[in-house]
Amino acid sequence: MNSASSTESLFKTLKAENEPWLGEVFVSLPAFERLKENDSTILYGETGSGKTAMRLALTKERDEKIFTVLWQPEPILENPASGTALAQQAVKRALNACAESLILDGSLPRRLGEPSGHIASALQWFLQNHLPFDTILYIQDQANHLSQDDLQWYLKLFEQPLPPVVKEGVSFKDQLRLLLMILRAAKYERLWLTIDGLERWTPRGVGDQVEALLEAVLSTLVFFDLKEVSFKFFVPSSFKSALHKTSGVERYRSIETDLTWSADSLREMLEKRLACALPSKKASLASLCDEEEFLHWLKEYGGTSPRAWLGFTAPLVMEYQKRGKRLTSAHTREFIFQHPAPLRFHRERREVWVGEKRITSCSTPEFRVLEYLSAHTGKITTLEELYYYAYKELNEVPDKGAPDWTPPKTWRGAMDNVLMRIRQKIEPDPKHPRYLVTHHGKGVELLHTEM
Amino acid sequence: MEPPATWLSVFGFTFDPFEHLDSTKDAHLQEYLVIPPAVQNTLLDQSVAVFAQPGGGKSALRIYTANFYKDSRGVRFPVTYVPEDYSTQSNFHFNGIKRSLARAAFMYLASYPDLFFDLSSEYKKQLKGLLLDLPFGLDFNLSLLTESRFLSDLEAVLGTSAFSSLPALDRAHHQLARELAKESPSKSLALEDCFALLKDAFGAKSIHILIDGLDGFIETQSPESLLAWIEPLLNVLENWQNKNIYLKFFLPLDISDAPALTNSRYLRAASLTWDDHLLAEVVRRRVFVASRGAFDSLDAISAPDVRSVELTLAHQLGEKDKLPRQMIIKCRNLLAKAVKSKKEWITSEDLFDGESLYAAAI
Repeated sequence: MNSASSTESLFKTLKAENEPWLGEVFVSLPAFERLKENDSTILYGETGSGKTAMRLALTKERDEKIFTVLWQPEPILENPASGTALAQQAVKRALNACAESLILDGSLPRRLGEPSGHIASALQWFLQNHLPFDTILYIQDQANHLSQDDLQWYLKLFEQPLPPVVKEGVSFKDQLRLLLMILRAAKYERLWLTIDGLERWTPRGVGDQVEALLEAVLSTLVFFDLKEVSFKFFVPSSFKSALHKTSGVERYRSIETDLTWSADSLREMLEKRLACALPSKKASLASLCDEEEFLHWLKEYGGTSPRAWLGFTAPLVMEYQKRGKRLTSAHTREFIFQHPAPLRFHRERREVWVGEKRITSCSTPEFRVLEYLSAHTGKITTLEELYYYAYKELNEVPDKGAPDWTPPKTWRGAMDNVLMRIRQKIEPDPKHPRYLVTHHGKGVELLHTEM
Repeated sequence: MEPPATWLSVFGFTFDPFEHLDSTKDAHLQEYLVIPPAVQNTLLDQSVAVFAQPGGGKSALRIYTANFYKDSRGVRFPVTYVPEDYSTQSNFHFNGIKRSLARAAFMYLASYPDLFFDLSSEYKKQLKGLLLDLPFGLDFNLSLLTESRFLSDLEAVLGTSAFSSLPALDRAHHQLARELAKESPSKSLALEDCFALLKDAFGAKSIHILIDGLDGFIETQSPESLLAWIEPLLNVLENWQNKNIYLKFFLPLDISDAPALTNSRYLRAASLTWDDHLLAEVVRRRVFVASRGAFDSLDAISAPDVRSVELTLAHQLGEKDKLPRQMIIKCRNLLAKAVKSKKEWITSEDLFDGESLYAAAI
């Protein structure tokens, strides 16, 4: 793990599915301890807060008597159905996910050995009805996940002409009971249905659509309300209000918990990744830089997001490796100055963020100045342009003598004040601006923005 | 939840009485369920509609009622009907009830296999006819009966609890499977004939159909749609009552003021609501059972200056959260907090700090 490229990966991958080292760097938060209990749980977390990492760790750490299924309900987005029809399609997809997990888990042949007749026929039926395409083809397609013996075990299962076990029109709940019977025969005592990947709804699904989907998923969970089944529902925090608008039957049957990071747990996460990335196993933040200075900055602009903390620390690790020695206090301050947190805008929500710190109480002229500058990054803007955009809502400076034209002496002072107030709000050190930079005699420029 | 050893050993519980948020998963429910006075008539021979919000204890009361009837050895025969689909096709509920009858009849036979051998040939044929409505088909269920070791294996597959607690399946069950396999079934029975069969063959004096799991319907539909959905069942109340067949609806609170439910002569409506004293009792009974009668209040494991722990917890709940489930969450958090503080009793700090933990949990 100690090469430069893996160091970069450790701090920049930021996608749990692509982090094979997750087990080494995982931090167990109180929310994770709650997830490990058998209750059905709804875990809310911001994007990048580590929901998927928790889901993966949960699967890895689970008791061998627990069978976990991952259901990512995105495909129902494409469906024109609504209401109960949508719910029925959703539960079908959840059962499909169960069937795929039976194969992908890989342990079923070993656990079942020579199954009795009713188990063999139930398994045959369940896989034939819930795998996404032809059963034999699907199993052969998974050959790289299965040993040769396991592959033969499945092929033998499907060679046998077993009597059909399920009559037409059997309910989803009965189908689930059938699955649980197979799992019990395989010495599993519980089924955990993990539901993740709802973040992918966000760009397309908004408002009513998200609510309808959440309703469908929640009503689906009613079908899964069996003694041996728990669901672990990983929900983006932005969906919390939509989820609470649904009648939420299953919400009452579950524990709701928020995935939150304290500064201490974020620091622990950084330390674990550093220990994993750097040659010395004793590598720590203190061995890289002035820890107090750097942590202060992370707390201020990294918020409680692991993604931001990792993103801000990545260049520090590179700098340390380039120098080959620890950054002194002065070097740490210089590093922070040279690597400011990105300035971000949400135009529709009228929000300004520096890193993960939201800048509150921006007046309309201030916001409009920032809006204009962010739309003209890489360009020096005159105060005149800014004035007419911020106060007169004009995209161009009017000609002298035109009705909208105003003599500079009437607005110059006001514009200086606006710029000063903006700097006080967004700059860590307004006397040495990093974002809103003046080019004397020319105008101003906004740097380090991120749309 | 695997009960943390410290919880149990520190406080002297023999099991974790706050393990299950979901009553359907609680093996001790029958021992400590609190039934508010307003809904005690659920157990009587009449049709009832019990209203409660999610988490208000409907399913717990339904399970308690089913077990209460089962203790009569089927003289008052319970049949649980939980719609497993949201279909609005005509006869959907009646077909569903028939399938539930088949499940209940199969479990009754599995609980008392000897009974089958003494039945007349006609009843055997009719029973086989009824059992053809079992999920997965009768052949599958008979092989399940032959190959399983315990009644609980059947219960899990059929989703219906047994009428007795036999230690293990034995030769009588194998014989039952053989006899059922070789019996030729009667022609398909009408629902009313199925009721008559249960009464005649099993000696049931009354049949109680417990209808639950309807909350999920209004997840995607309006409360009015739910009312329309169950209307076919409301239309048979009078006719069925005359035959000692009673419907017990466990319904969401959203439709509690619907005239079709509140004004019916054949349906007694009641709301399952909780006050602080009842909620305190929910905890006290659990404590009593879990401590094997050693104490009946968390006061017994609290510091000397801490009194009325249960009532204090109930007072702390917001009006909308005055539900057994929320009370259980509070108790869990309180005990976890007390254990974490490494004292051997609950302190007033634990009791009042618990509030912030609870707020974080919900």
